[in-house]
Amino acid sequence: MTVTTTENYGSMTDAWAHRALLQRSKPRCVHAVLCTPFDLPQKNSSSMTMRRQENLNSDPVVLPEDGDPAPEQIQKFDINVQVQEFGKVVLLSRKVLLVAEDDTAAETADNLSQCLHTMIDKVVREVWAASTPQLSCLNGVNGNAITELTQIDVERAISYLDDNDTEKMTPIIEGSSRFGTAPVEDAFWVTAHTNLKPDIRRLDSFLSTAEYGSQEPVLQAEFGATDEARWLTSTLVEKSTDSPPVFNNTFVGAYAVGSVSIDDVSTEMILKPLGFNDYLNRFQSMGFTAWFNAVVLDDAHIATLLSTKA
Amino acid sequence: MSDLHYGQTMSEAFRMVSGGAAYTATLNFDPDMVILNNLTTWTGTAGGFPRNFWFKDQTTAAHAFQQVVTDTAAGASFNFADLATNGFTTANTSGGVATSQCTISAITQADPCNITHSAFTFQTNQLVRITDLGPVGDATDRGMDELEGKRYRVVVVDATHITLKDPITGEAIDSSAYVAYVSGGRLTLESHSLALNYPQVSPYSDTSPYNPNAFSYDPITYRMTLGSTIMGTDGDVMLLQSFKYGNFVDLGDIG
Repeated sequence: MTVTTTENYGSMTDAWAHRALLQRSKPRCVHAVLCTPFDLPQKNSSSMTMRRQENLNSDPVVLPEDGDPAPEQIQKFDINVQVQEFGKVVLLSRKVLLVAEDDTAAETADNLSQCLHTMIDKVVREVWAASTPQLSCLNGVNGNAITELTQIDVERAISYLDDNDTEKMTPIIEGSSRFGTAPVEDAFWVTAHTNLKPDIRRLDSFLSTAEYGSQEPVLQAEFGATDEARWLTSTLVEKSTDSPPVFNNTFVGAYAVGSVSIDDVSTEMILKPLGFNDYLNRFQSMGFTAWFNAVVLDDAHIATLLSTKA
Repeated sequence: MSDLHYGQTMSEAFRMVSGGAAYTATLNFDPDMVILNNLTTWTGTAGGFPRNFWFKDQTTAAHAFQQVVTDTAAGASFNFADLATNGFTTANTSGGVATSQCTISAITQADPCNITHSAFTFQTNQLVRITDLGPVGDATDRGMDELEGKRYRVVVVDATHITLKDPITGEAIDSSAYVAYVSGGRLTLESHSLALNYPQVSPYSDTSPYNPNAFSYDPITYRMTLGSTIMGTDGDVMLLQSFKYGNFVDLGDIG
């Protein structure tokens, strides 16, 4: 039982209180944005099954004049995902609302919204971390079994996607006449930890976002591009507790990952006024629920390159 | 389970017949106090342990504060003992998504190709993706180039060995002529699923159609292992009580 009360939230009565709360740190949610969204209809199952047909054998078949070829049976591949409900609630006491100088309720609503997005992003991250084919960086010089990022290892990850006919996620960014800029190739997205920024910058073909021919398609979390890869960085990206820590650099192509929610009610912010469940209107609740889950749609189109820090 | 209301506690109880061995109970909340009652030795049995207590954040986590019957005549006198082993042990799961990956330590050049892997429970006919083999640039090649990046159907040999089959034709993979294995390699279970078309083969039957394992996020499960010393003997009737405080205040040193 945890109510936010003046005892723990306090007041600022012994000083002039600046009522606008200071900016909270906001980690960048780089995983969920790369998922293809799917919706379950309401009044139905909480599970969604997705089916993929395997490619038919395309070996040339010369038809004989007097007969038909043997029919080939279609092979299917099913993936199941179970939508689950995630959520968070906080309780504010009436005294906090009456006494605390800041705009507690409004800021709490904003805080919950951030929590919702971060929570969903972590679900996606954990699905990726648990279910994505992995490659190790092996060509670095830091002496670890899994080395720091190198251009050769980045090319191995891209080669894995190419070998599986993976489509790119982003189109070409054309060059412009601006001095110091360059075009960017059509690319896969890569999610990487912010701790690896120096390592990414050292890659041979690195181009910072400032050098892109256009700034319009640049994402807030984007750090730069190397050949066929555009790098998103965030503190939310998987980093192991090993010593030294191992970082997941996940290369994502088109149609690799998805997310599932329920029509119309996928996420809800639920704010109940004072007295929602007590006699004397002394407690107010604020929270969210999110019907959600993430799924790897095709592990041919996603790969995690494991690396340590240089 | 919710604990929305100030001052309200949560409690639950489980009745069971002991098997005389340790047992891990699943609870519906993270308890602050657990009491295990042995109703069979409640009175009268000298040396019996009618009640065992556990408190969150107690000095030594695995200890139990154990009530002991000391009066051999009437079972009317009790003492308390600090049980240092085989008492209560929290066994909460961490939640999240169970990993679908393991590492490779050996691959044979044989028909069928046999892989030695780190601990992971595969099921025959599941599909796996093999990565991190073959040429790797300037570093030493890892061998088994032919397997790199491809998917296969597995046949479980034992807890750490599988053989490979073609995912579509089901033919065993003959790796006799493949590049010799050197080191490394990783196996990833493909999309938590069984094979293409999910053939109803052992251990699955056509009377119990198989649904592919769903992607889902495991919640944290609150569990408490009740050690063999507090579980009495086989046949003892046990009552497990679990409590969560409605409010907890650490008053510090009030002296």
